[in-house]
Amino acid sequence: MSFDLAFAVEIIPRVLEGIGNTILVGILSFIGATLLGFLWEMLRRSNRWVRPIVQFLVDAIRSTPALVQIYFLFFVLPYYGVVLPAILVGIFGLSFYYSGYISEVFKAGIEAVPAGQSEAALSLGLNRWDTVMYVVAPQMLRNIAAPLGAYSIGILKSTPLLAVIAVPEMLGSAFDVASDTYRYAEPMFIAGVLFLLLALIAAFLVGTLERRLGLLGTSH
Amino acid sequence: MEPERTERRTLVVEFTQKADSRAAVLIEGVSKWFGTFQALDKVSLNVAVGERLVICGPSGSGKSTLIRCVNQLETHDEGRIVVSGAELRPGMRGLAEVRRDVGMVFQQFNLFPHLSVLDNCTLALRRARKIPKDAANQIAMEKLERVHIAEQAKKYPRQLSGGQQQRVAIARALCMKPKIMLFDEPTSALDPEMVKEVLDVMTALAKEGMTMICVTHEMGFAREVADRVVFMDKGAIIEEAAPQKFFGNPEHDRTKQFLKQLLH
Amino acid sequence: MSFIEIVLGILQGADVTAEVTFFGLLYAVPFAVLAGVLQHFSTGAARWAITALIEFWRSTSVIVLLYVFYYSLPAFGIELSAVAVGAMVLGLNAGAYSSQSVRAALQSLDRGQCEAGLALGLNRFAVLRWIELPQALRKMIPTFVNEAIQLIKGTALVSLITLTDMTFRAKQIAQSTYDPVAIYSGLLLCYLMVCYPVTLLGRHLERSTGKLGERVNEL
Repeated sequence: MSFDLAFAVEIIPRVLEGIGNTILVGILSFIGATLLGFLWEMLRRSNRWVRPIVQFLVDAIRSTPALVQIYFLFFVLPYYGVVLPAILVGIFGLSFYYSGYISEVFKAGIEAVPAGQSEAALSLGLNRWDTVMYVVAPQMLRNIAAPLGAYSIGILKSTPLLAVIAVPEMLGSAFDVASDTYRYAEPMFIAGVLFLLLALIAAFLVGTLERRLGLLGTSH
Repeated sequence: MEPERTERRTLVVEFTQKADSRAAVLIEGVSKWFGTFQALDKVSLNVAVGERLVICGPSGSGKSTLIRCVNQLETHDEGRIVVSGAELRPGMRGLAEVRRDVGMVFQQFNLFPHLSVLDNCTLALRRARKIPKDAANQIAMEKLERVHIAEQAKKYPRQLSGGQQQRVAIARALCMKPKIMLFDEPTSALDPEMVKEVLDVMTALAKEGMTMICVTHEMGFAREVADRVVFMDKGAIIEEAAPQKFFGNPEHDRTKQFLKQLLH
Repeated sequence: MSFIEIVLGILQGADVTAEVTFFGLLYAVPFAVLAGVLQHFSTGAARWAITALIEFWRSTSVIVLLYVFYYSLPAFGIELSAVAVGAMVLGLNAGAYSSQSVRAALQSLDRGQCEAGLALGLNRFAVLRWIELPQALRKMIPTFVNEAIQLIKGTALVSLITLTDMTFRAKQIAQSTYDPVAIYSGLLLCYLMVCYPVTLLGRHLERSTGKLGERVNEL
C-alpha cells in the first residue's frame, strides 16, 4: 500500500477537528502544572517535616512515565467511584506530571537570585512579604520565563498522550479517520505534520510573548 | 530551649537598666557560631551617637559578621545587642522598623538589577514608609544629588560603573533617613580608581555627623575620619584606640603585624 | 491475583523495556555528541541543515512520531521493526535535546583552552578530541542522566505500537483481572524502582558537577 497524497490532503480538515481540544488541554494543563509546581516548591520551603515528603513526591512524579500516570488516574479513580470526563482526567494527569518538573524550575529560579538581594531589601526595612514581592519575585520571574516557556511547548507536545484515554484531540481525530478508512499511513502522517507545525507556531508565539514582556532581557 | 530563654530574659532586664541612653549601638558579650566555628567570641562594643567607628582585621576575623549582627542579617547566639534603644532578638517583632533606622552598604552593592537607580532608592520609602511616589522621588533625587549621581537616576544598575553603583547604594540607604550607617567593606569590590569617589562620599557623610560603623581596610580614611579604630582577630576585639594612637603606637603584636602587612 | 503476582507479571515485560532503552541510548549518545559538535563548528548552509535536523527531533511529539514512523514509513517503502522504530524515535529525541547541552558546553569553554592546545602544536581535531570534548562531556553528564530517565520513561509509549514491554503487560493483565489499583500501582512501582535511583543520581550530579570536574582534573 503506497502513500496516497491526494487522500492525505483530503483528510486534513477532519484531523484538524481535534485541534481545539489539543490547544485547550495544552493551555489548561500548563496552568495546572504551574500552579501545582509552585505549590510543591512552597511546601518544600515550608518546614523540615513536609520537605522530604514533597521532595519524594516530586522525584517520584519525575521517575514514572506520563502515560502510566494517566492510565493510573483514568482506571483507578472510577474504582473509587470518582467518574470524571476523560478530558478532565487528562488535564489533571498532564498537570500533575509536569508539576514535578516545574517545581524544579521554581526552585532553581529562586535559588538563582543572590542572597545579597534579599539582605539588601531586609536591611532597608522591607518586611518579608514586600521583599519577596518587589525584590525576589521579579528577578525570579526573569529566571523562570525561558524554562517555563519550554515546558509550555513540552506540555503541548504531550497532549496527544490523551488519545489513549479517548480524549477527542488531534491525534484522536487522526485515529478516527484511520478506523473509518482502514488506512493508517496518511492520517498518522498528517497528524505528525500538523503537530510539528503546531509546536513550531507555539514556540514562535511563546518566544515573541517572552520578548514582549521583556522577560528575556539580559539579567544582572 | 525554654529555660535558656527565660534565663536570657532576666539578663535582658538587668542590662537594659544599665544601658546608656546616649549609645547608638550597644553590644555586650556577643558570641556567634557557624556550626562548630566560632565567628564571634564575647564581643563588647559601644558606639555613641555621632561617633565614627572603623573596624579592621584580617579576613575571617568576624568583623563583617559583627556588623551584620547589628541589623540582624546574622543572628547572635549569645549576649545582647541594643540598637537605638531596641534590643535585638532572633525572630523579634518590629525588626523591620529597627532596620529602617540602620542603613547598610554592602561590599557587592546589592542593587536591585530589575529596578532603575531611582526605583532602587524609592522602593523602601514607598513600600515600608508608605510615602507617596512623588514625595519618595523627591527624597531620592535629593540623596542621589548628595552622592553626585542624580543625572543617572533613570539608568539601571548594570549600566553604571562599580563606583557609581556603590554611591547609589549609599544614597539608597540614606533615603530611609537612618540614624546609623553600616558599611561592610564598601570599597573592596571596586577597581582602585573608583575607591576615592566612594570614600569621598563617606567622608562627607561623616563630617555631617552621621553615626557610622565601617568595616574597611582603607587606613587613610580611618586616619582622617574615625573617632575610634577597632582591630579584630579570630572573632574577638584585640585593640581599640583613637586613630593617632592606633596607627602611631599600637599596643598588641597582632595589631602591629596587621598594620605592617597593610603597608606592604 | 496477588499484588506480587501482578508485579511479577508486569516485570515479564522488563526485557523489552530494557531492549528499547539500550538501543535508544545507542542512537541518543552518538547523535547528541555528533550533532552538538557539528552545530558548534559548522557555518552557513551546513549549520542551517544540522540545526534543522536537531530542531525537527526537538519539536516533534514522541508519541505522534512513533505512530508516524510505525504506520506511515512502510507506505514510503521503509519497513522497520517496532523495536527499531521505538529505539530510533526515543533515542534521537533524547539525543537532540542532549545535543544542545553538548553545544552549550563547548561554547562555554574558555577560548584559552583551544588556543593553548593549538599553541602546543595540536591540530584542531586533536584539540577537540583531547582538550575540549573531555571538559564539555563532563559538564553534560547531568543532562545525559536526565535524558536517560526521559528515555526509559518514554519506552512506556512503545506499548502503543504493539511491543510487549512492562506497560503492555500491565494492560494485558488488566484485561483478565479487574484490579486497577494493584495493576497500575504495580506498574508505577516498576518504573519507580528503575528511575528513582537514576533521578537521585542526576540530582546529586547536578549539585556536584563543579566538584566532580575539579576532582577529575587533579588526577
